[in-house]
Amino acid sequence: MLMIVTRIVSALSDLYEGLRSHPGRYTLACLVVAIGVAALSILMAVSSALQLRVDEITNEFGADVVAVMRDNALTGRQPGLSTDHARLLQVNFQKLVTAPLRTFKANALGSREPVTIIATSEDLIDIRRWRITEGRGLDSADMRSHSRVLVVSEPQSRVAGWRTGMVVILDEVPFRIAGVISVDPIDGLPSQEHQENGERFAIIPWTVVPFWHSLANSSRLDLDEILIRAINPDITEKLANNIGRLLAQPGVGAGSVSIVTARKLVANISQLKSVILIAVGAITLMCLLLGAASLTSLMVLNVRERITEIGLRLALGATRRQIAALFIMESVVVTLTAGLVGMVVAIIVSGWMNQWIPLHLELEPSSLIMPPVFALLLGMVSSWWPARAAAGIAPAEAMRVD
Amino acid sequence: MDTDSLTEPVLNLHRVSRSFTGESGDVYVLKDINLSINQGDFVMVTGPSGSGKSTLLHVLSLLLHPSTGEVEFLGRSLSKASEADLGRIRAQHLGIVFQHYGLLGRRSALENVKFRFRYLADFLGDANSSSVEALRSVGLEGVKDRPARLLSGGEKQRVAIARAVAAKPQLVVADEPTGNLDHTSALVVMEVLAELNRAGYTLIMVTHNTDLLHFASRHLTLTNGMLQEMQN
Ligand SMILES: Nc1ncnc2c1ncn2[C@@H]1O[C@H](COP(=O)(O)OP(=O)(O)OP(=O)(O)O)[C@@H](O)[C@H]1O
Ligand SMILES: [Mg+2]
Repeated sequence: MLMIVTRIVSALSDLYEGLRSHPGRYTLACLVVAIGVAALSILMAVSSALQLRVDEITNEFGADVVAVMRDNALTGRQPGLSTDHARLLQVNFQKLVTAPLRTFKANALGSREPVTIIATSEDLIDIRRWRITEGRGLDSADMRSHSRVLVVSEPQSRVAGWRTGMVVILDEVPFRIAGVISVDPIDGLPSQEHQENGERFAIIPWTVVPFWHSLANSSRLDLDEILIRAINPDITEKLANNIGRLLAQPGVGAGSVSIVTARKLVANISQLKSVILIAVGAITLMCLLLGAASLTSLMVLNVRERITEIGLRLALGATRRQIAALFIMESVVVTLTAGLVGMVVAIIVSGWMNQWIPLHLELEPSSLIMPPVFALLLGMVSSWWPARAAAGIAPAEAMRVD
Repeated sequence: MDTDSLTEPVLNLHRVSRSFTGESGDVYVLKDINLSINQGDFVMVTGPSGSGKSTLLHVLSLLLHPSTGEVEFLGRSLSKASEADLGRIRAQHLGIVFQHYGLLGRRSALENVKFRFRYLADFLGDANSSSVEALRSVGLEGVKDRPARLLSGGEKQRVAIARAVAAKPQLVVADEPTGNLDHTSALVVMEVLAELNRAGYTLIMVTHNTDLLHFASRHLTLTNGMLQEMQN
């Protein structure tokens, strides 16, 4: 026991003596590797954040969903996509589920903030794969009879205290709460918008809007989008093409629309992802290579300066493996330190980046642990050759050096 | 130490030669050397510069393989010994004083002596007190905490001697251990070595100082790589 302690102490003192011989250079090499490690951590975080976004989109959007979106949604309202087109699609694709969507704000009595209202059909819950946790969803009777009912999302229910059966006044008209839905993605992927208001909304039958709100005339409501669910994800592209052709026919007057599928969105993000990965990856690689190279040359210098010491150790009974380990350990301590520093830098930088880029960087255990492990390997690799050279020194010759 | 082994040679060289490959082919530095060092011997080797004394000591301290011939240590032939075995034997049984000391400049005198125990796995005594004791025996107790690089040449040499004897080895091999010492200090160091010798330790040293020959029990000269035993 005591002997193990003595060994550890002497190994540590060897390390200390070795490292303090060139503090400046070791620090420099350490910094370069640390930057590389931080870049690697962030690279992994960005990559996984983008992947998360991809999963989220696929999940929230639905891999089998085709969305027809009004292009000028941001620039203003021109005659275009409306419930007439939703009906047209329904008639043409009778086996498929279709849901029109119109999002707007309404004032709720007793609530300071306006509520986000989605006017839609009974099929939206199904298409979006939301879960009914309380009461019921919308049904076709609601649509037919223009029922003033609403189904609220869980966050909205929680924040506003809205429960099934209650009556709320929206823009001076009473609505009865028919149910509550959970908007958590099915497979439990954390959604980045959870803390935000994005998940707070209520859905109503669109057919009630003409009787309530100035947004619509008697039988038509302008839409933001129409969602259609394909029978399976593999035919979404084909369906998208068919929908595009149908809406482009003369006289349909759907205006300028984009036909979006999860796959298309994902393709865009993937493209972005590869651009980022290549750019940041190049920096990372350069830092790590530079760090490794400077460390190697430092170790070569180190070995050269310590030839007498190496000879002495060998003369005193050190094995060649112990000599090699001496230098590898030194290098590994440098890179591991760099790994830790890099980790801290990565945490700080990603926190800072979260405020500036529209992507939530989360340093997962893997993107925190991988880089130090990588740094460890880097330390071993960059000292391998000098350590081997040190281990190969002939003690008799080494002891001739003055 | 085993009393049965008193008459047994500690070290035996049988027809040992050593060559180095130079620009003009192989150069023999040691030529056909036969030498038997017995338990309790105090051997001094003299010879002109470049005659191969350090090379001989490197062979004797198992740091250098002979090109031909055989080395036996404590009755065991080392021709087939692995490098790890040789390392273990050096750690356990040998104390080596190098011609250029081989001290670690940043470490203190005491740490340098204690370094002797760094690779000596099964030392029974207390490394620290043995080291302090060794430093005291060469008269350097007062500078034990001074970094080795700040010591004078003679002090460095004595630290090197303290390191060689600290673990009480079977054989002490010293390359000019008094080379940098004034006469009085040299005598102090020789007394240390003689004291060890009287206690039963075996010593072999190289010296240029013929005044010290009377400390030795045997005197060898090396000329041109050939060893000759002088009769006194
Ligand atoms: N590794 C080597 N390669 C080539 N030549 C060597 C090597 N080691 C020693 N020599 C040569 O062997 C010869 C003997 O050297 P050595 O150091 O043994 O002499 P020495 O008797 O100790 O001399 P000094 O009294 O000056 O210390 C020298 O000519 C030296 O150059
Ligand atoms: Mg010499």
